[in-house]
Amino acid sequence: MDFADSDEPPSKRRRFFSGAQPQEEHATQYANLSSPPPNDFPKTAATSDMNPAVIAFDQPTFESFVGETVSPDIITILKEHCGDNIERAINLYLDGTWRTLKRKAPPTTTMRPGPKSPTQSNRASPKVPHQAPGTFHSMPESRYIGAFGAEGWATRSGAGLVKHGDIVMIERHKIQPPKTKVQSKLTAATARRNDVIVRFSDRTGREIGRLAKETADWVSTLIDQKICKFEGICVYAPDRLRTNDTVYLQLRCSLLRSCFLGRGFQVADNRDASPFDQGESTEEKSLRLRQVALVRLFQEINLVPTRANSAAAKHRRQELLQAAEMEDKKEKEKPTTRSESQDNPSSSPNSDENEDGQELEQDQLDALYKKAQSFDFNTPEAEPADTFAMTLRPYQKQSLYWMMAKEKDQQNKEHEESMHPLWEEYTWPLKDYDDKDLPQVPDQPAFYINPYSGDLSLEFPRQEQHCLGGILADEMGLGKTIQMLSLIHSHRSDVAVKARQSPPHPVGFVNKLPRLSVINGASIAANAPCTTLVVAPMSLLAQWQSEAEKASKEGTLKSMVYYGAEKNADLLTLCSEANAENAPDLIITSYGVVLSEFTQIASKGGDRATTRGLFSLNFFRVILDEAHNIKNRQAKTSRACYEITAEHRWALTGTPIVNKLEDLFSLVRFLRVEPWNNFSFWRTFITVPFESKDFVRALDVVQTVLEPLVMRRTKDMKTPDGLPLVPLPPKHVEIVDIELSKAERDVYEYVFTRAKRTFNANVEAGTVMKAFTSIFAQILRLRQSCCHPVLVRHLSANADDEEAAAAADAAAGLADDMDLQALIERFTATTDDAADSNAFGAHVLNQIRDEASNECPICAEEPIIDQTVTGCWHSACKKCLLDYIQYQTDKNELPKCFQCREPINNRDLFEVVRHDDDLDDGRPGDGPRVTLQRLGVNNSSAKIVTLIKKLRELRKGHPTIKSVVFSQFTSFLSLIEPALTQANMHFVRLDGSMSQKARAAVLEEFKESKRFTVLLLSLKAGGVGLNLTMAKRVFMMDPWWSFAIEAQAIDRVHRMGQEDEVKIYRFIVKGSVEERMLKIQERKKLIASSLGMVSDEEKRVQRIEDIRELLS
Amino acid sequence: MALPKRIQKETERLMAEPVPGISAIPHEDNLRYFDVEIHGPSSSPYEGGVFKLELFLPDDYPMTPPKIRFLTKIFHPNVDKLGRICLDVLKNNWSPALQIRTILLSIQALLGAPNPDDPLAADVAKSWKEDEKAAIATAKQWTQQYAVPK
Repeated sequence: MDFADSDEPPSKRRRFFSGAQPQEEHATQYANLSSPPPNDFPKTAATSDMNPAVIAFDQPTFESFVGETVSPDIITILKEHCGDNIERAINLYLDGTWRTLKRKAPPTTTMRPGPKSPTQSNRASPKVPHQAPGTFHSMPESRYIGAFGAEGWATRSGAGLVKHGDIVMIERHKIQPPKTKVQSKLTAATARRNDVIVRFSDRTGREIGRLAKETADWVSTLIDQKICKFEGICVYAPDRLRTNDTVYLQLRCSLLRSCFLGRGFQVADNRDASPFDQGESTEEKSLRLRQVALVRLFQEINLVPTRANSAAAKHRRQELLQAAEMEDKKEKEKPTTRSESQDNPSSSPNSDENEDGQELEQDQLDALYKKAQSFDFNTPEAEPADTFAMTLRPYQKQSLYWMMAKEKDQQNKEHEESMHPLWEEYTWPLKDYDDKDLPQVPDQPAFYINPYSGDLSLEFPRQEQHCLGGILADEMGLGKTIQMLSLIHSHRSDVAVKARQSPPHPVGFVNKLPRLSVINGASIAANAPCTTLVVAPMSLLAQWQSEAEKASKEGTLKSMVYYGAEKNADLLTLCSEANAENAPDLIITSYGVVLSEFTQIASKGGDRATTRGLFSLNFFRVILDEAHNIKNRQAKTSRACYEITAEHRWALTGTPIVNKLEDLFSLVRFLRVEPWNNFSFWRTFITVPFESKDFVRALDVVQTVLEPLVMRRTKDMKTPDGLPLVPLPPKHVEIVDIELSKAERDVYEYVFTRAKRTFNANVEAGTVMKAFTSIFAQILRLRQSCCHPVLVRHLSANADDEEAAAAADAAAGLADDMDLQALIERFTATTDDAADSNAFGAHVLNQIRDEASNECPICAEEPIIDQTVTGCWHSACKKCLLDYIQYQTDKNELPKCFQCREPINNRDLFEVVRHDDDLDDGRPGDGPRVTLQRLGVNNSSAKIVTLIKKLRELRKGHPTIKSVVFSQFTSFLSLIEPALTQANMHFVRLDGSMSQKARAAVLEEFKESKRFTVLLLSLKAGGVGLNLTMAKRVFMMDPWWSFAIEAQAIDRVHRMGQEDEVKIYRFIVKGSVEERMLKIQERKKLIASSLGMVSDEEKRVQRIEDIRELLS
Repeated sequence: MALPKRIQKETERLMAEPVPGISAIPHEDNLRYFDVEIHGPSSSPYEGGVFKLELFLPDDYPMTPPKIRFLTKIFHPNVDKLGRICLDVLKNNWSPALQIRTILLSIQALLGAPNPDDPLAADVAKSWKEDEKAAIATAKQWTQQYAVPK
């Protein structure tokens, strides 16, 4: 439709401002106009007739509107004060404010007199711009942004009321007097909420109809909040209009200048607001309406941002609408949920209790971290200062660069231009609805909207960066401490500044410290320009100091622990500018000290100077280590930390968000990042959307908060070359061949033969699948017999294996098997015999001990390997001796001693156990303790013997190393335990039968243990998830069908965070089913069944194949 | 097969600290094979003679004793015509604790103290028993004839 053809007399293009509006609004509007903020709107412009968006003032129209003849004097006054705006003139007249105005001095030449003829006002109308394309010196009263179609419905009937091309007035009527009968019964609030009626009327002010509710909903808001004004043109209306007929209108929308004024962050700048004050205030509600209205408007006129926060731009509008809807719903649910949270005492808890805020789900946390981790590998690197004694990895140099830039406020160039992330930029349209050029304002091609706050601005909303610090949130193990130390070295305060310092004056009076008058506080604390304060958990104080020493060339960094006795130091004097020469560079203190000084000061009325301690100084830099300690913003410790004053503020933590978005707030608060350190602002933009399930939006905002503040790298990050950030240390897998003892072998062979017989019988009978369970049980049994024959006797009932149940069933058949019993008993007979090694005198033992350093008389090894002595006290390597005895036995000779040719009693062979690996033993004396252990006794199975031997060797070389022992049979772990006890090895155990709490306790003990410690871990319970990087050795006691499972277990230890080489020992019995299992593993490196991708049936077929191979 | 550590060590020691009157040098191409020379003990019929022997260490040495044989002709009741030696430690009384060195010392001792009661060469033993002086003379003569370096 072409409206350009319509040629309406200009006098008809009038606008009326509703006289029915409350008096107060007029006053406000008038107040606004009479004292425009000093930004961009000179007073002279107000009277300019070059303002096309405003309907010019002309007397006839004016008179026809007010319905009376107005005296010329009044007209002149109005004319002079209305700025050629008929609306204003009418308002001035009707509310009587004109009476207070006086005639101005005769207009200067630059001021044009008010327009006198319709043609003049016509020229000023937007339709025919006076100067096309015209320009404005500044933002005009209103500026066209677009048009859209809308429906209305008629409220009156009649012929020719309105026709195509007619201009209609769009008006708001707040509350209609005629309907008071109904409305008076409603509460005022409801009335206000429901009243969205927008009328349109003809030029005489006669109401024709109303806008459809859908449009009126938001148009009303825009008009009420003085954001826009609308002009309507009738597109189509029936000739004979009847009530309720649809009228099609085109609405032309202009943004009012006033909408760019006045609003600011102050709306939310109410930082003392109680976090529990959840009710939506009137203010918040109008904000919400405003948000929605703006978004809808932009949707309707199809105006898209020319620049916006790229990540969120796409979805933002939709989100905003959703958020508002959520809020609506929430309002209804509120009473219940809020009362709960209000039960929380709002006193300051000192612990982590009573935190508010919803917990983040793990995947949300992951998503958030992922966003925050967009580390740019092209960040320049900075070299640390010469005084720094360590070498930094490239990524650490990059963060050093970043940190120095943050401190010196040297923004990257791109950042300089960066728009405040909450804002969107829109370009003013160049053409109007008739495709005619619109007048432009130089240097103002665009305007900006913050859809979150509903703010509009003509100024470029620069992202402000007040914070001269940030959050270093690298994952544990990436060297946060070192990076901070490099910063301490590389960016010191200006020495010249120090030299100029005047002596420190006694610290002034701080009035209300416990309150948050931080900014004032900072100016009162004395400067400590040389000193960086580190606040760390008490247990890390010593570590910080030693790291600081290690990282600094001698004499280049003075550090001092401010804790306990040291606390008596007069920090105020020590660190003051006057003492710059001798001031410590680094003061390390604990959260506890901060809190106690804070409390002390608070109790003395907030005089920072009273303690002459931490709070009396304005440090050059403050660093919170493990900053998640202050995640609860209401905890006293957190509040104490907020009060520390410093030029630069840093928070170190591997977990900036532990489980709530509020955790992050506390850090931001500590960092004093405007405006996010204001809780209600935070709450409005992050907490509320998040709690109303608008996660994407909340997390997007968090991201924009985090991005400039946080440097975070994770250990699994890869450099662009695909290399890990921190390369994993090597791992070394070794297969340890186990030789079964004779007795063990007998058991094994017995079980093997039996299993093979069963299998073959079933194959012949074709019943393999049916007998699967039984066959499998026997295989399981076979595998167990490789570990320890006793396991077979135990019926494997307590093996936490998937086949355990099946095994128990099948085992019933084996249990009464006398042959097997006999074999096992033979095994236990040789093992259960107690060693009477104490019978030997100390002299003999010492002699034997000294002999050990000689060479073996048989193989000439020096020293003797596994020294073993005969009953006649002659030593040789265990293997040599046994070989020799075997050799003689094979020749049917009576074994004799190799030295004295005394006959050797097989049972009188003793292995010499040297306890030189056992530092826990604590026995004083010369040389290590020696005990004799009857060969084959108490050693139980070959695997356990080998394990203990390996562990002993390990303990000798690494007295505090930690190892993990995996087995899939918990009953086997139970058999390993006594062997460890006997060897005096500290161990802990974790298996599937334990509660989560117990597991955590075990892991904690394993982690914290400072001595040689073994973790017994069942493969099933410990295969996934655990982080066991504190261990350096892995013993896999038995193989699993698929190596993938074993590999996963190994990766518990060999994963990011592991700093040393990891050695893995896989115990495999030679010439057994285990060796063949290795072959099967090899054959299908990644067995599908281990990934759960095949059905049980397929799995079984697969297994049968495996079994065939095993028993071959 | 790599040479066992024990053999390496024994060889090294034989070279480094040779026993007076005894030398044993392994063949370069077979380190288990030794050329041995034993000087006849003084005040024995073999004095002045240098007797060559061959010594071989079997694969299961030291479980089994070394194989050792006189190459030089010798008139001795415990050594047969083929040079084989009758010595208990080379037979039943072998122990892995014994070594090349100790074995060669035993042989040297055997030269100094022939044991005709446990003969290997029956004829030699017989003459030794019947006429010890003549036997010793023969031994001396053989020594001069076969064992004295020219």
